[in-house]
Amino acid sequence: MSNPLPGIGMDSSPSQFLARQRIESQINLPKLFAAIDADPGIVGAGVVYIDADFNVVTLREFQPICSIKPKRIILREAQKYIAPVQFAQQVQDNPRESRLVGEAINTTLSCAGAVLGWIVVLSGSVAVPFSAGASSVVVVLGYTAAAASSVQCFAGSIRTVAEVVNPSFNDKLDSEEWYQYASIGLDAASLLGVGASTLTTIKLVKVAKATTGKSLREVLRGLTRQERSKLTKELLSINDPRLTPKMLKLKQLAGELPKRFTPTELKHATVTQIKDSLSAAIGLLGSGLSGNVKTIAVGLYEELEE
Amino acid sequence: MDDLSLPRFLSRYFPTFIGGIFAALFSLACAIPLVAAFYFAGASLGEQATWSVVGGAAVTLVVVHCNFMVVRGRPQWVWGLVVVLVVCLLSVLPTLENRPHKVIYALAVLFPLLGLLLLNSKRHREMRSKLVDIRHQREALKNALKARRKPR
Repeated sequence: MSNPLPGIGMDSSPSQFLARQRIESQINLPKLFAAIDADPGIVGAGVVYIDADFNVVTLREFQPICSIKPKRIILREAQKYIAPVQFAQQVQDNPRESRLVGEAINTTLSCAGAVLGWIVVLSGSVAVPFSAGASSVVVVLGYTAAAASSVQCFAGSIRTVAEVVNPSFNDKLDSEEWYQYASIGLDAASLLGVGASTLTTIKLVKVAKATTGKSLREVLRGLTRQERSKLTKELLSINDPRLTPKMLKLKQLAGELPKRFTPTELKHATVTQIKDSLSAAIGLLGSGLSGNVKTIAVGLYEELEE
Repeated sequence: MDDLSLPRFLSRYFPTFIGGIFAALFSLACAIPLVAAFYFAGASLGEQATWSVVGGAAVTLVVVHCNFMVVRGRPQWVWGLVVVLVVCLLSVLPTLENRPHKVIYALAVLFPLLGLLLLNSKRHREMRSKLVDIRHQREALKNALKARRKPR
């Protein structure tokens, strides 16, 4: 086991050592690890224990099985002389500020989605007289996308407002199962709009599925760099079937065609991702470990990156 | 449309149009938590959260549909938006008694007013009448196509 705080002289302090001894004797570690590894979302997550005297003990290092980004389960013991209720309150309120920023970013992203959706609707309707009805499909898709992303935009802003007015509102909401499914559905529906805005609608999802071999849910969750470039190539050749692979490559090298679309262009995947990591990142559950009188807070922390 | 190509149409009218939508969405988002806490103080927080989001989403869909019909060239649907905005404004006003969060309260009053202003603006009116023209063109085109098909 490596030290959580190497090189600053805190690694070998006696209290640290004692804390480890105490924790290892008190908690059934294999059982705890087994419980963590049973959840596919957090297999191999690191486990860190912070005891009442602020000794930080890494019980297990993170192993990149569930994700590349480090995820850590943090178990925090309540300080002595503090009531459990008060402790729960303190833990819940702590990461609030970053959450407000998170909600705001999320709202901005979904509202940007709404802008795209409405552009599609408007341009589809205005263009119909010129293209003689060919774009009415676009209008329908755009309507779906605009509706979905507007609802998302609304949900995002109500969450941001609630974060200011009454933060526990959002916790209640996150714990509702229907809400989680609804947001996945909305993400899927507004993704249609991204495609429609480049007039490659459902193809996007289909192609993404075919080229990356991922399931629909995974496609919606986000793509890696390599997958994006693959997808870009595929989309470009769909847009212009005359392009042979060689010409495509030459044009990409010459800079006439993009090598890979940026995440913003495949944007909604990112929204989903951020939403997912946010809800997991700071989801703190107050819970007491069984057979242990002390109050312990459990939290899953994950490093966030765009 | 003799003088308006699509990009020009968008650059001229889109900001006002989307501004109207966002004003409606944000006024809903600001109003609903205040209203829920004021009128439904008896309900549990879970119920409040659920019904706020469900109800808000439903009203959002109304807003979306009204805007869509306006885009399709039926300007009378704009009254739907007006109703939503006015209801938002009126229902928020009495919550002052509850000593709500000041910034949120101010925004909840500001956004509906902004929305109404945008809907009443010259640009928005102009856009609506243009969209009616476009609908007439579209219908004429459709009839022409139908008439051509019929004789055979």
